Amino acid sequence: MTTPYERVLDDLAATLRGPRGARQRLLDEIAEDLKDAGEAESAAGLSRNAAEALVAARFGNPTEIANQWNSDQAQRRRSIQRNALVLVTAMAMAGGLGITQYASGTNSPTPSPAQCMQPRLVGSKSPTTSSLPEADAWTGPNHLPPSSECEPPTRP
Amino acid sequence: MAREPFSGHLELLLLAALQRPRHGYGVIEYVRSASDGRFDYPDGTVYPALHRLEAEGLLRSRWSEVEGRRRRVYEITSRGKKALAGQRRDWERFTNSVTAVLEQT
Repeated sequence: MTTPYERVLDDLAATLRGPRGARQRLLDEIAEDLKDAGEAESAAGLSRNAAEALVAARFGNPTEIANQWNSDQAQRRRSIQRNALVLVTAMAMAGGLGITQYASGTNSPTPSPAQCMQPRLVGSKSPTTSSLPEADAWTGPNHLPPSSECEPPTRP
Repeated sequence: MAREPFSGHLELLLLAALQRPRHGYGVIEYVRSASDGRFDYPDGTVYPALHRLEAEGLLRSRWSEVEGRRRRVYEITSRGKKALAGQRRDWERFTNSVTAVLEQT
């Protein structure tokens, strides 16, 4: 035969949802507190059976209490998922921005010594480009980095 | 004595009760006796609220063993104290406003 406490705990366990550890902790905690409350009523003069029945009745409807707990758990889970989504989106945007900046040359790498050794097309018309319009020298495949990046450091 | 609905103020009452460490049943008993029996509601209602406040970082809890009996003891955190102070101010503002209106009638 089940006791009033066991009925409360069984009803709760049947309705609770969420992580197993958290559910077990709640059930353990309530089981201990029911015993505490029963002992207090027994000390006040009630028989053990009467004390247990009173405490179980005073606990309230286990299904309603489990539903409240379930609702809080679901809300917490949604909040964690939302935060994770925001974090992943922010990381993806930061990564995308970095790639875009690199591709557009905003943060391009230092020119290699080989690039600096090539003859410059800009500012002096070579025999091969003299017949072309001036602007074409900037847009061709042999475009060079600005001359300041290739100049050696000046001595004081 | 008539019971008062306290669901809207449960968080405030629990934070106030847990300025001293207490277990779930201890919290219920404290609220019941401090309110002179006005807040005498189903004992089970405090557990989801205690767990929610703990998840929000307003409370912390640990198992404690006293005379061979295990108890889950809760206490307020520094974040919980700030929340309590804020809710106390809101409550005082609300009651002062109601009193001001009542005194004019």
